[in-house]
Amino acid sequence: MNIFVDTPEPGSAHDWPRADAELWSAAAGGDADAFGALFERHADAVYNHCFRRTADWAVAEDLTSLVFLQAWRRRRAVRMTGESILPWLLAVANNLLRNADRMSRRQRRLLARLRPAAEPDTEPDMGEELAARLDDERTMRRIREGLDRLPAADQEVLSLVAWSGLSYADAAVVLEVPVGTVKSRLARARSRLRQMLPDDTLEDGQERKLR
Amino acid sequence: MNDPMDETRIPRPRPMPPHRRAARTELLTRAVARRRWSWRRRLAIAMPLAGAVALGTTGAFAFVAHQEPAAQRHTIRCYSTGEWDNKSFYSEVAQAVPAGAGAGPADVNDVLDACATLFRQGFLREGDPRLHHETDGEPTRPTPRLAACVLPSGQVAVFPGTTCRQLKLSDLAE
Repeated sequence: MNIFVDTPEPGSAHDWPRADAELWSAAAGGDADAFGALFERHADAVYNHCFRRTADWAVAEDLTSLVFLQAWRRRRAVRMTGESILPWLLAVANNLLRNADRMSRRQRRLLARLRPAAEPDTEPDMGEELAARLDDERTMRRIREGLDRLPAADQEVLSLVAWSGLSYADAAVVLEVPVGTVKSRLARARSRLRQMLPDDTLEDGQERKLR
Repeated sequence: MNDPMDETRIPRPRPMPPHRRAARTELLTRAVARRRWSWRRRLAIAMPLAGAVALGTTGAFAFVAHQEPAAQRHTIRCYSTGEWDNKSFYSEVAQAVPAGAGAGPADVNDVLDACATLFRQGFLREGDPRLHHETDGEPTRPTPRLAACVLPSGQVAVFPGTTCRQLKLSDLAE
């Protein structure tokens, strides 16, 4: 899969248009530090994307590592002309999420190798943080009950555009469909989800915050 | 205006816990750095086997079993079944010159013989999708009829008991 990304529009949310391409180029050439820098930069966006699709912070953390490793292994298939590497990473994430239930033994071994050892929580406010994360998971599971009833294509467009904040154009690249299809799928997904959930989960003002 | 913390709303984004992120960055960069030198690791695996495999005097062969796409003629795939979908099993054979001015990856000229050796040794067995570790001391096991083909990715792949045509693949040009 080749990805061509256009020059960013004015006001783009991405702050490092050239640096991403330079870092990816260096990473593809074997520069592990450049790869680490990209991980630092985009890990949280991928992490939250994976959480919204799995409703599990721990699984999302594992998947984030796997997304980056998978992206690196397919590094020669990426072609950037500018902008951010994030759309490509989310495309990799979606592929993994689609097959998460039937992960190969090899992928499980990789996951284990990329998982840090558990450490005792020493921060004083860790208990509060943990409780908040459990609340997140409960909330997200409830939303997913509605989301899971949507076609997979609608779920993907909703999570990419409404929740991860990709532009229609970037989402079209990720999903390999025309921009018009992204818009129509999004409208359909929003409409269906509103009918399924008791509250206006997808209100526009909220969406912008949910990157 | 609805309360943004209403439980029917999407939870707010959270950063990965800093100590976990630092540890994962470290593990990932280490994994990437290690993979960069994978042919050397393969060579290291090959050295103890080089005598038994006895494939030549200028280099050493090694094989690793995995489903990672590879390229170039210095790394070829030996399949144990006449299938090449994502679930098919194969061993990867790499040739390298271990030392001297020409040290580094080297082309596998006789790809059929390279894969036939794995069957003769018993590492691969026709129709059995796994790598055997209990092998014979003497390379006496039967070698199936082999076909050297080219996958759509350009990767050289050798299959037992079939033809490239049956697999809808191109023959490997010599």
